[in-house]
Amino acid sequence: MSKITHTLTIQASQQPIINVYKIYQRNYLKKLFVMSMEIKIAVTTLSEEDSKIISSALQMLADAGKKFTTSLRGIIDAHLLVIDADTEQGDHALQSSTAGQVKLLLATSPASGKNIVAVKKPIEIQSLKLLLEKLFDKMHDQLVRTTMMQVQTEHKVEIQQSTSCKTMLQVLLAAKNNKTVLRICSTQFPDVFIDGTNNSMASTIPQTEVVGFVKQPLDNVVVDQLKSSEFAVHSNKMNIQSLHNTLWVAAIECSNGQLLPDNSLDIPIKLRAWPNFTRNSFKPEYLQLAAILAKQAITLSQLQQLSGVPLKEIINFYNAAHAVDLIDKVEKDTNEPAATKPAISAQKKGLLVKIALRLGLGK
Amino acid sequence: MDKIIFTGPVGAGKTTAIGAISETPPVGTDVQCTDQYRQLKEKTTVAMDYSYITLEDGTRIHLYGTPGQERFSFMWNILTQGGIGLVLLINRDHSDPIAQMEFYLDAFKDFINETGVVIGITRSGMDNNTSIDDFQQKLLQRQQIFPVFEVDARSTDDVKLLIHALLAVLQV
Repeated sequence: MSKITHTLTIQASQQPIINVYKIYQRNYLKKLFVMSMEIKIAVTTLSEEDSKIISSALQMLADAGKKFTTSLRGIIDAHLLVIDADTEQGDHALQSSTAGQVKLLLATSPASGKNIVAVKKPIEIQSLKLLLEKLFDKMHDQLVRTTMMQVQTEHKVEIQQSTSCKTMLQVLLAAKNNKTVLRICSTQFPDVFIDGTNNSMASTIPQTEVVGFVKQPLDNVVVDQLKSSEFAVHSNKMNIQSLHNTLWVAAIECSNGQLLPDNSLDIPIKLRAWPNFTRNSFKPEYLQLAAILAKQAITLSQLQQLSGVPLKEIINFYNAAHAVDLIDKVEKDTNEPAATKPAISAQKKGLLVKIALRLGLGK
Repeated sequence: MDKIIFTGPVGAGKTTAIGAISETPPVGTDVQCTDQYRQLKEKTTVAMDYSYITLEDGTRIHLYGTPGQERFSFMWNILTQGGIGLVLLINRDHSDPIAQMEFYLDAFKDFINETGVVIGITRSGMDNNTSIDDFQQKLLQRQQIFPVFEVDARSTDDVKLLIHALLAVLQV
Protein backbone atom coordinates (compact mmCIF):
# COMPACT_ATOMS: atom_id res chain seq x y z
CA MET A 1 0.00 0.00 0.00
CA SER A 2 1.48 3.36 -0.98
CA LYS A 3 2.21 5.91 1.66
CA ILE A 4 -0.71 8.20 2.25
CA THR A 5 -0.06 11.70 3.38
CA HIS A 6 -2.70 13.61 5.23
CA THR A 7 -2.59 17.30 5.87
CA LEU A 8 -4.30 19.22 8.56
CA THR A 9 -3.76 22.93 8.17
CA ILE A 10 -4.87 26.06 9.85
CA GLN A 11 -3.36 29.14 8.31
CA ALA A 12 -3.05 32.19 10.52
CA SER A 13 -4.70 34.88 8.49
CA GLN A 14 -7.72 37.10 8.58
CA GLN A 15 -9.80 34.07 7.70
CA PRO A 16 -8.27 30.85 8.92
CA ILE A 17 -8.65 27.92 6.56
CA ILE A 18 -8.82 24.27 7.54
CA ASN A 19 -8.07 21.44 5.14
CA VAL A 20 -9.07 18.22 6.80
CA TYR A 21 -7.98 14.71 5.82
CA LYS A 22 -8.32 13.63 2.25
CA ILE A 23 -11.59 11.85 2.53
CA TYR A 24 -11.41 9.53 -0.42
CA GLN A 25 -8.14 8.04 0.76
CA ARG A 26 -9.46 7.55 4.26
CA ASN A 27 -12.69 6.00 3.08
CA TYR A 28 -10.74 3.58 0.89
CA LEU A 29 -8.65 2.52 3.83
CA LYS A 30 -11.72 2.23 5.99
CA LYS A 31 -13.41 -0.01 3.43
CA LEU A 32 -10.40 -2.31 3.32
CA PHE A 33 -10.30 -2.68 7.04
CA VAL A 34 -14.04 -3.07 7.47
CA MET A 35 -13.97 -5.97 5.04
CA SER A 36 -11.07 -7.68 6.68
CA MET A 37 -12.04 -7.10 10.30
CA GLU A 38 -13.56 -10.04 12.09
CA ILE A 39 -14.33 -10.47 15.73
CA LYS A 40 -12.43 -13.33 17.35
CA ILE A 41 -14.38 -15.39 19.80
CA ALA A 42 -13.14 -17.86 22.38
CA VAL A 43 -15.72 -20.19 23.93
CA THR A 44 -14.37 -21.89 27.00
CA THR A 45 -15.37 -23.93 30.04
CA LEU A 46 -18.97 -24.41 28.95
CA SER A 47 -21.03 -27.50 29.59
CA GLU A 48 -21.89 -29.63 26.57
CA GLU A 49 -25.45 -28.38 26.55
CA ASP A 50 -24.47 -24.71 26.80
CA SER A 51 -21.84 -25.21 24.10
CA LYS A 52 -24.51 -26.49 21.72
CA ILE A 53 -26.75 -23.49 22.43
CA ILE A 54 -23.87 -21.06 21.87
CA SER A 55 -22.92 -22.81 18.63
CA SER A 56 -26.49 -22.60 17.37
CA ALA A 57 -26.73 -18.90 18.22
CA LEU A 58 -23.41 -18.22 16.46
CA GLN A 59 -24.52 -20.17 13.42
CA MET A 60 -27.63 -18.00 13.21
CA LEU A 61 -25.41 -14.92 13.30
CA ALA A 62 -23.14 -16.34 10.60
CA ASP A 63 -26.18 -17.01 8.43
CA ALA A 64 -27.19 -13.37 8.96
CA GLY A 65 -23.81 -12.24 7.60
CA LYS A 66 -22.00 -11.38 10.81
CA LYS A 67 -18.28 -11.87 10.52
CA PHE A 68 -16.43 -13.59 13.29
CA THR A 69 -13.90 -16.32 13.76
CA THR A 70 -12.80 -18.68 16.47
CA SER A 71 -9.62 -17.57 18.15
CA LEU A 72 -6.85 -20.03 17.29
CA ARG A 73 -4.89 -19.08 20.37
CA GLY A 74 -7.71 -19.49 22.84
CA ILE A 75 -8.49 -16.60 25.11
CA ILE A 76 -5.17 -14.89 24.49
CA ASP A 77 -6.07 -12.86 21.42
CA ALA A 78 -9.86 -13.20 21.42
CA HIS A 79 -12.01 -10.07 21.35
CA LEU A 80 -14.97 -11.84 22.97
CA LEU A 81 -14.79 -14.58 25.60
CA VAL A 82 -17.77 -16.78 26.42
CA ILE A 83 -17.26 -18.22 29.89
CA ASP A 84 -19.23 -20.28 32.37
CA ALA A 85 -18.78 -18.14 35.48
CA ASP A 86 -20.10 -20.85 37.81
CA THR A 87 -17.12 -23.16 37.36
CA GLU A 88 -13.64 -23.00 38.78
CA GLN A 89 -12.16 -23.16 35.30
CA GLY A 90 -14.43 -20.34 34.23
CA ASP A 91 -13.31 -18.24 37.15
CA HIS A 92 -9.70 -18.93 36.20
CA ALA A 93 -10.37 -17.94 32.59
CA LEU A 94 -11.97 -14.72 33.79
CA GLN A 95 -8.95 -13.89 35.96
CA SER A 96 -6.66 -14.56 32.99
CA SER A 97 -8.54 -12.24 30.67
CA THR A 98 -7.57 -8.64 30.00
CA ALA A 99 -9.61 -5.53 30.75
CA GLY A 100 -9.99 -4.77 27.05
CA GLN A 101 -11.61 -8.13 26.22
CA VAL A 102 -15.37 -8.37 26.32
CA LYS A 103 -16.56 -11.21 28.56
CA LEU A 104 -19.94 -12.84 28.09
CA LEU A 105 -20.55 -14.68 31.34
CA LEU A 106 -23.10 -17.44 31.71
CA ALA A 107 -24.01 -17.45 35.38
CA THR A 108 -26.74 -18.29 37.86
CA SER A 109 -26.16 -15.12 39.89
CA PRO A 110 -25.76 -11.51 38.67
CA ALA A 111 -22.34 -10.26 37.65
CA SER A 112 -21.07 -6.88 36.50
CA GLY A 113 -17.90 -5.05 35.65
CA LYS A 114 -16.17 -3.25 32.85
CA ASN A 115 -16.65 -5.03 29.55
CA ILE A 116 -18.66 -7.77 31.25
CA VAL A 117 -22.07 -8.88 30.01
CA ALA A 118 -23.85 -11.47 32.17
CA VAL A 119 -26.54 -13.87 30.98
CA LYS A 120 -28.57 -15.75 33.55
CA LYS A 121 -28.79 -19.49 33.16
CA PRO A 122 -30.49 -21.36 31.69
CA ILE A 123 -29.60 -19.72 28.39
CA GLU A 124 -31.94 -19.60 25.44
CA ILE A 125 -30.89 -19.54 21.78
CA GLN A 126 -33.00 -16.67 20.45
CA SER A 127 -32.29 -14.19 23.23
CA LEU A 128 -28.62 -15.17 23.15
CA LYS A 129 -28.51 -14.57 19.41
CA LEU A 130 -29.99 -11.07 19.85
CA LEU A 131 -27.53 -10.26 22.61
CA LEU A 132 -24.56 -11.47 20.58
CA GLU A 133 -25.76 -9.44 17.61
CA LYS A 134 -25.76 -6.23 19.66
CA LEU A 135 -22.38 -7.05 21.13
CA PHE A 136 -20.90 -7.74 17.72
CA ASP A 137 -22.14 -4.44 16.29
CA LYS A 138 -20.69 -2.46 19.18
CA MET A 139 -17.42 -4.32 19.16
CA HIS A 140 -17.11 -4.01 15.40
CA ASP A 141 -17.40 -0.21 15.47
CA GLN A 142 -14.85 0.00 18.25
CA LEU A 143 -12.51 -2.31 16.32
CA VAL A 144 -12.76 -0.18 13.18
CA ARG A 145 -12.09 2.97 15.14
CA THR A 146 -9.08 1.54 16.95
CA THR A 147 -7.59 0.13 13.75
CA MET A 148 -8.04 3.42 11.88
CA MET A 149 -6.16 5.17 14.65
CA GLN A 150 -3.30 2.73 14.17
CA VAL A 151 -3.29 3.32 10.41
CA GLN A 152 -3.22 7.05 10.96
CA THR A 153 -0.20 6.75 13.22
CA GLU A 154 1.60 4.43 10.84
CA HIS A 155 1.06 6.71 7.89
CA LYS A 156 2.57 9.66 9.63
CA VAL A 157 0.27 12.64 9.47
CA GLU A 158 2.08 15.68 8.21
CA ILE A 159 0.90 18.91 9.63
CA GLN A 160 1.75 21.98 7.60
CA GLN A 161 2.21 25.29 9.35
CA SER A 162 1.41 28.54 9.45
CA THR A 163 -0.44 27.60 12.58
CA SER A 164 -1.28 23.96 13.17
CA CYS A 165 -4.24 22.44 14.95
CA LYS A 166 -2.68 21.53 18.25
CA THR A 167 -5.69 21.60 20.50
CA MET A 168 -9.36 20.73 20.35
CA LEU A 169 -10.04 24.43 20.81
CA GLN A 170 -8.45 25.15 17.45
CA VAL A 171 -10.38 22.32 15.77
CA LEU A 172 -13.68 23.65 17.11
CA LEU A 173 -12.82 27.26 16.26
CA ALA A 174 -11.85 26.27 12.74
CA ALA A 175 -15.19 24.51 12.25
CA LYS A 176 -17.03 27.59 13.52
CA ASN A 177 -15.00 30.16 11.57
CA ASN A 178 -15.01 28.18 8.32
CA LYS A 179 -18.60 27.02 8.74
CA THR A 180 -17.71 23.40 8.16
CA VAL A 181 -19.38 20.22 9.40
CA LEU A 182 -17.05 17.82 11.17
CA ARG A 183 -17.09 14.43 12.80
CA ILE A 184 -14.55 14.08 15.59
CA CYS A 185 -13.60 10.47 16.36
CA SER A 186 -11.47 9.34 19.25
CA THR A 187 -10.86 6.09 21.08
CA GLN A 188 -11.86 7.49 24.45
CA PHE A 189 -15.12 9.21 23.56
CA PRO A 190 -18.15 8.65 21.36
CA ASP A 191 -18.18 10.45 18.03
CA VAL A 192 -18.95 14.15 18.19
CA PHE A 193 -20.52 16.07 15.32
CA ILE A 194 -19.97 19.78 14.79
CA ASP A 195 -22.09 21.95 12.55
CA GLY A 196 -20.14 25.15 12.06
CA THR A 197 -22.84 26.58 9.80
CA ASN A 198 -25.17 27.15 12.74
CA ASN A 199 -22.91 26.68 15.78
CA SER A 200 -24.32 23.34 16.86
CA MET A 201 -22.74 20.32 18.42
CA ALA A 202 -24.23 16.85 18.73
CA SER A 203 -22.83 14.26 21.09
CA THR A 204 -23.65 11.70 23.75
CA ILE A 205 -20.77 12.77 25.96
CA PRO A 206 -22.01 13.51 29.49
CA GLN A 207 -21.46 17.06 30.74
CA THR A 208 -19.06 15.72 33.36
CA GLU A 209 -16.73 14.42 30.64
CA VAL A 210 -16.62 17.47 28.37
CA VAL A 211 -13.42 18.71 30.00
CA GLY A 212 -11.75 15.37 29.28
CA PHE A 213 -12.97 15.51 25.70
CA VAL A 214 -11.55 18.96 24.99
CA LYS A 215 -8.26 18.26 26.74
CA GLN A 216 -7.46 14.98 24.98
CA PRO A 217 -4.32 15.02 22.79
CA LEU A 218 -5.06 15.34 19.08
CA ASP A 219 -2.86 12.30 18.44
CA ASN A 220 -5.84 10.21 19.49
CA VAL A 221 -8.30 12.11 17.34
CA VAL A 222 -9.44 11.73 13.75
CA VAL A 223 -11.42 14.54 12.14
CA ASP A 224 -13.67 14.00 9.13
CA GLN A 225 -15.27 16.73 7.10
CA LEU A 226 -18.90 15.95 6.30
CA LYS A 227 -21.59 17.42 4.10
CA SER A 228 -24.07 19.76 5.77
CA SER A 229 -26.89 17.29 5.31
CA GLU A 230 -24.97 14.59 7.15
CA PHE A 231 -25.11 16.43 10.46
CA ALA A 232 -28.87 15.93 10.74
CA VAL A 233 -28.50 12.24 9.92
CA HIS A 234 -25.70 11.53 12.37
CA SER A 235 -27.05 13.70 15.18
CA ASN A 236 -30.37 11.91 15.31
CA LYS A 237 -31.16 10.90 18.91
CA MET A 238 -28.16 12.85 20.19
CA ASN A 239 -28.09 15.78 22.52
CA ILE A 240 -27.76 18.87 20.31
CA GLN A 241 -26.53 22.00 21.99
CA SER A 242 -24.84 25.26 21.15
CA LEU A 243 -21.22 24.83 20.08
CA HIS A 244 -20.48 27.88 22.23
CA ASN A 245 -20.89 25.85 25.42
CA THR A 246 -18.04 23.51 24.46
CA LEU A 247 -15.98 26.29 22.88
CA TRP A 248 -16.05 28.11 26.20
CA VAL A 249 -14.86 25.05 28.11
CA ALA A 250 -12.22 24.30 25.47
CA ALA A 251 -10.83 27.83 25.66
CA ILE A 252 -10.66 27.81 29.45
CA GLU A 253 -9.05 24.37 29.57
CA CYS A 254 -6.81 24.42 26.47
CA SER A 255 -5.55 28.00 26.23
CA ASN A 256 -2.92 27.58 28.92
CA GLY A 257 -2.24 31.31 28.85
CA GLN A 258 -1.62 31.45 25.09
CA LEU A 259 -3.50 34.16 23.27
CA LEU A 260 -5.48 33.06 20.21
CA PRO A 261 -3.93 34.10 16.86
CA ASP A 262 -4.68 37.63 15.60
CA ASN A 263 -5.21 38.93 19.11
CA SER A 264 -3.04 41.24 21.13
CA LEU A 265 -2.46 42.27 24.71
CA ASP A 266 -2.37 45.90 23.62
CA ILE A 267 -5.53 46.40 21.60
CA PRO A 268 -8.41 47.91 23.56
CA ILE A 269 -11.31 45.51 23.92
CA LYS A 270 -14.70 45.49 25.59
CA LEU A 271 -17.26 42.87 26.46
CA ARG A 272 -20.29 42.92 24.21
CA ALA A 273 -22.30 40.94 26.77
CA TRP A 274 -21.67 38.99 29.95
CA PRO A 275 -20.91 35.29 29.62
CA ASN A 276 -23.61 32.96 30.98
CA PHE A 277 -21.56 31.77 33.94
CA THR A 278 -24.14 29.42 35.42
CA ARG A 279 -23.87 27.19 32.40
CA ASN A 280 -20.16 27.60 31.76
CA SER A 281 -17.16 26.70 33.82
CA PHE A 282 -15.69 29.75 35.47
CA LYS A 283 -13.49 31.04 38.25
CA PRO A 284 -14.47 33.80 40.69
CA GLU A 285 -11.95 36.21 39.15
CA TYR A 286 -13.79 35.96 35.84
CA LEU A 287 -16.68 37.88 37.37
CA GLN A 288 -14.30 40.70 38.23
CA LEU A 289 -12.84 40.67 34.71
CA ALA A 290 -16.29 40.65 33.14
CA ALA A 291 -17.45 43.53 35.32
CA ILE A 292 -14.47 45.67 34.29
CA LEU A 293 -14.66 44.82 30.59
CA ALA A 294 -18.41 45.41 30.51
CA LYS A 295 -17.88 48.91 31.81
CA GLN A 296 -14.96 50.18 29.73
CA ALA A 297 -12.69 49.39 26.80
CA ILE A 298 -9.14 48.64 27.92
CA THR A 299 -6.25 46.47 26.80
CA LEU A 300 -5.51 43.13 28.40
CA SER A 301 -2.29 44.57 29.80
CA GLN A 302 -4.25 47.37 31.47
CA LEU A 303 -6.81 44.87 32.69
CA GLN A 304 -4.07 42.92 34.40
CA GLN A 305 -2.79 46.04 36.16
CA LEU A 306 -6.26 47.12 37.18
CA SER A 307 -7.55 43.77 38.42
CA GLY A 308 -4.42 42.11 39.77
CA VAL A 309 -5.60 38.86 38.20
CA PRO A 310 -2.70 36.78 36.76
CA LEU A 311 -2.24 37.35 33.04
CA LYS A 312 -2.63 33.64 32.27
CA GLU A 313 -6.16 33.65 33.73
CA ILE A 314 -6.98 36.87 31.89
CA ILE A 315 -5.89 35.32 28.60
CA ASN A 316 -7.87 32.12 29.25
CA PHE A 317 -10.96 34.20 30.01
CA TYR A 318 -10.37 36.45 27.01
CA ASN A 319 -9.94 33.50 24.64
CA ALA A 320 -13.18 31.97 25.91
CA ALA A 321 -15.11 35.23 25.54
CA HIS A 322 -13.58 35.76 22.11
CA ALA A 323 -14.41 32.23 20.99
CA VAL A 324 -18.10 32.76 21.78
CA ASP A 325 -18.25 36.20 20.11
CA LEU A 326 -18.50 38.28 23.26
CA ILE A 327 -15.55 40.58 22.55
CA ASP A 328 -15.56 43.84 20.64
CA LYS A 329 -12.22 45.30 19.60
CA VAL A 330 -12.27 49.05 19.97
CA GLU A 331 -10.54 50.98 17.22
CA LYS A 332 -10.05 54.34 18.84
CA ASP A 333 -7.39 55.07 21.39
CA THR A 334 -8.76 54.71 24.91
CA ASN A 335 -6.01 56.31 26.97
CA GLU A 336 -8.66 58.42 28.62
CA PRO A 337 -10.52 56.58 31.34
CA ALA A 338 -14.12 55.83 30.57
CA ALA A 339 -16.77 57.92 32.28
CA THR A 340 -17.93 56.07 35.36
CA LYS A 341 -20.01 56.51 38.45
CA PRO A 342 -18.17 58.06 41.38
CA ALA A 343 -15.87 55.53 43.01
CA ILE A 344 -17.47 53.64 45.86
CA SER A 345 -16.34 54.50 49.34
CA ALA A 346 -13.88 52.29 51.17
CA GLN A 347 -16.61 51.54 53.69
CA LYS A 348 -18.97 50.35 50.99
CA LYS A 349 -16.25 48.31 49.36
CA GLY A 350 -15.51 46.69 52.70
CA LEU A 351 -19.17 45.81 53.11
CA LEU A 352 -19.29 44.17 49.69
CA VAL A 353 -16.20 42.11 50.50
CA LYS A 354 -17.80 40.96 53.76
CA ILE A 355 -20.98 39.94 51.95
CA ALA A 356 -18.91 37.93 49.49
CA LEU A 357 -17.06 36.21 52.33
CA ARG A 358 -20.29 35.47 54.18
CA LEU A 359 -21.73 33.76 51.12
CA GLY A 360 -18.48 31.88 50.51
CA LEU A 361 -17.79 33.66 47.24
CA GLY A 362 -14.31 34.24 45.83
CA LYS A 363 -11.34 35.31 47.94
CA MET B 1 -30.09 49.65 56.43
CA ASP B 2 -28.11 47.56 53.93
CA LYS B 3 -30.35 45.58 51.66
CA ILE B 4 -30.42 43.67 48.40
CA ILE B 5 -33.66 43.86 46.47
CA PHE B 6 -35.11 40.95 44.53
CA THR B 7 -37.68 41.91 41.94
CA GLY B 8 -39.40 40.51 38.91
CA PRO B 9 -42.82 39.43 37.72
CA VAL B 10 -45.18 37.03 39.45
CA GLY B 11 -43.87 33.49 39.48
CA ALA B 12 -40.28 34.38 38.60
CA GLY B 13 -38.92 32.83 41.80
CA LYS B 14 -38.12 35.83 44.03
CA THR B 15 -39.34 34.26 47.25
CA THR B 16 -37.65 30.98 46.37
CA ALA B 17 -34.34 32.69 45.55
CA ILE B 18 -34.29 34.60 48.83
CA GLY B 19 -35.01 31.38 50.67
CA ALA B 20 -32.12 29.68 48.89
CA ILE B 21 -29.49 31.92 50.49
CA SER B 22 -31.05 33.41 53.62
CA GLU B 23 -30.49 32.20 57.15
CA THR B 24 -34.15 31.83 57.89
CA PRO B 25 -37.13 31.07 55.70
CA PRO B 26 -38.43 34.31 54.21
CA VAL B 27 -41.23 36.04 56.04
CA GLY B 28 -43.88 36.50 53.44
CA THR B 29 -47.01 38.46 52.85
CA ASP B 30 -48.59 35.94 50.54
CA VAL B 31 -52.34 35.78 50.15
CA GLN B 32 -54.61 33.74 47.97
CA CYS B 33 -54.50 34.82 44.35
CA THR B 34 -57.90 35.97 43.17
CA ASP B 35 -57.10 37.82 39.96
CA GLN B 36 -55.82 36.66 36.58
CA TYR B 37 -52.65 35.34 38.19
CA ARG B 38 -54.53 32.65 40.10
CA GLN B 39 -53.98 30.26 37.20
CA LEU B 40 -50.27 30.89 37.42
CA LYS B 41 -49.90 30.68 41.19
CA GLU B 42 -52.02 29.81 44.16
CA LYS B 43 -50.63 32.62 46.28
CA THR B 44 -49.01 35.99 45.56
CA THR B 45 -46.94 38.50 47.55
CA VAL B 46 -48.82 41.67 48.36
CA ALA B 47 -46.22 43.65 50.27
CA MET B 48 -42.78 42.07 50.44
CA ASP B 49 -40.77 39.00 51.28
CA TYR B 50 -38.13 39.45 53.87
CA SER B 51 -35.16 37.56 55.19
CA TYR B 52 -31.54 38.31 55.94
CA ILE B 53 -27.98 37.10 56.15
CA THR B 54 -25.65 38.03 58.99
CA LEU B 55 -22.06 39.00 58.35
CA GLU B 56 -19.16 38.04 60.57
CA ASP B 57 -19.16 41.36 62.35
CA GLY B 58 -22.87 41.02 63.11
CA THR B 59 -24.08 43.35 60.36
CA ARG B 60 -27.34 42.21 58.86
CA ILE B 61 -27.84 42.34 55.10
CA HIS B 62 -31.55 42.47 54.52
CA LEU B 63 -33.02 40.62 51.57
CA TYR B 64 -36.26 42.05 50.27
CA GLY B 65 -38.48 40.58 47.62
CA THR B 66 -40.86 43.01 45.96
CA PRO B 67 -44.39 42.05 45.08
CA GLY B 68 -44.53 40.95 41.46
CA GLN B 69 -47.87 42.37 40.48
CA GLU B 70 -47.77 45.80 38.95
CA ARG B 71 -50.63 47.07 41.08
CA PHE B 72 -48.32 46.82 44.07
CA SER B 73 -45.57 48.79 42.32
CA PHE B 74 -45.89 51.64 44.82
CA MET B 75 -43.95 49.32 47.14
CA TRP B 76 -41.00 49.14 44.76
CA ASN B 77 -39.67 52.65 45.42
CA ILE B 78 -40.19 52.26 49.13
CA LEU B 79 -38.28 49.00 49.23
CA THR B 80 -35.31 50.20 47.16
CA GLN B 81 -34.49 53.10 49.46
CA GLY B 82 -31.04 52.42 50.91
CA GLY B 83 -30.59 49.36 48.77
CA ILE B 84 -27.16 48.06 47.71
CA GLY B 85 -28.27 46.58 44.37
CA LEU B 86 -30.98 44.79 42.44
CA VAL B 87 -31.52 41.16 41.49
CA LEU B 88 -34.05 40.96 38.66
CA LEU B 89 -35.56 37.53 38.06
CA ILE B 90 -37.45 36.85 34.84
CA ASN B 91 -39.52 33.77 34.16
CA ARG B 92 -38.56 32.54 30.70
CA ASP B 93 -41.77 30.59 30.48
CA HIS B 94 -43.77 33.79 30.15
CA SER B 95 -45.26 34.67 26.78
CA ASP B 96 -42.95 37.70 26.39
CA PRO B 97 -40.12 37.53 28.92
CA ILE B 98 -38.03 40.10 27.10
CA ALA B 99 -40.77 42.71 27.36
CA GLN B 100 -40.99 41.90 31.06
CA MET B 101 -37.25 42.40 31.45
CA GLU B 102 -37.51 45.79 29.74
CA PHE B 103 -40.41 46.80 31.91
CA TYR B 104 -38.56 46.14 35.14
CA LEU B 105 -35.32 47.70 33.92
CA ASP B 106 -37.29 50.86 33.13
CA ALA B 107 -39.25 50.75 36.39
CA PHE B 108 -36.05 50.54 38.44
CA LYS B 109 -33.94 52.69 36.14
CA ASP B 110 -32.90 55.26 38.73
CA PHE B 111 -32.03 52.65 41.33
CA ILE B 112 -30.01 50.68 38.77
CA ASN B 113 -28.12 53.79 37.70
CA GLU B 114 -27.16 54.51 41.29
CA THR B 115 -26.25 50.94 42.16
CA GLY B 116 -26.35 47.98 39.80
CA VAL B 117 -28.40 45.03 38.60
CA VAL B 118 -27.97 41.37 37.75
CA ILE B 119 -30.59 39.46 35.76
CA GLY B 120 -31.48 35.85 36.43
CA ILE B 121 -33.55 33.92 33.91
CA THR B 122 -35.53 31.21 35.65
CA ARG B 123 -37.38 28.15 34.36
CA SER B 124 -34.71 27.61 31.79
CA GLY B 125 -35.23 23.87 31.73
CA MET B 126 -38.50 24.28 29.92
CA ASP B 127 -38.82 24.10 26.17
CA ASN B 128 -39.19 27.67 25.05
CA ASN B 129 -37.97 29.81 22.23
CA THR B 130 -36.29 32.67 24.09
CA SER B 131 -32.57 32.15 24.56
CA ILE B 132 -30.07 34.01 26.68
CA ASP B 133 -28.77 35.49 23.44
CA ASP B 134 -32.18 37.05 22.86
CA PHE B 135 -32.05 38.79 26.23
CA GLN B 136 -28.54 39.99 25.56
CA GLN B 137 -29.49 41.25 22.10
CA LYS B 138 -32.23 43.36 23.65
CA LEU B 139 -29.80 44.74 26.23
CA LEU B 140 -27.38 45.53 23.43
CA GLN B 141 -30.09 47.46 21.62
CA ARG B 142 -30.69 49.40 24.83
CA GLN B 143 -26.90 49.92 25.11
CA GLN B 144 -26.84 48.16 28.43
CA ILE B 145 -24.44 45.41 29.43
CA PHE B 146 -25.73 43.63 32.53
CA PRO B 147 -24.97 40.14 33.78
CA VAL B 148 -27.65 37.75 32.48
CA PHE B 149 -27.55 34.17 33.72
CA GLU B 150 -29.77 31.13 33.47
CA VAL B 151 -30.55 30.21 37.06
CA ASP B 152 -32.61 27.84 39.11
CA ALA B 153 -34.09 29.93 41.90
CA ARG B 154 -34.08 26.87 44.13
CA SER B 155 -30.34 26.41 43.72
CA THR B 156 -28.21 28.04 46.41
CA ASP B 157 -25.19 28.01 44.10
CA ASP B 158 -27.07 29.72 41.28
CA VAL B 159 -28.46 32.44 43.54
CA LYS B 160 -25.04 32.96 45.14
CA LEU B 161 -23.59 33.40 41.66
CA LEU B 162 -26.14 36.13 40.98
CA ILE B 163 -25.15 37.92 44.17
CA HIS B 164 -21.47 37.45 43.39
CA ALA B 165 -21.94 39.01 39.96
CA LEU B 166 -23.87 41.88 41.51
CA LEU B 167 -21.04 42.49 43.96
CA ALA B 168 -18.52 42.45 41.10
CA VAL B 169 -20.58 45.04 39.23
CA LEU B 170 -20.88 47.22 42.33
CA GLN B 171 -17.16 47.12 43.01
CA VAL B 172 -16.13 48.41 39.59
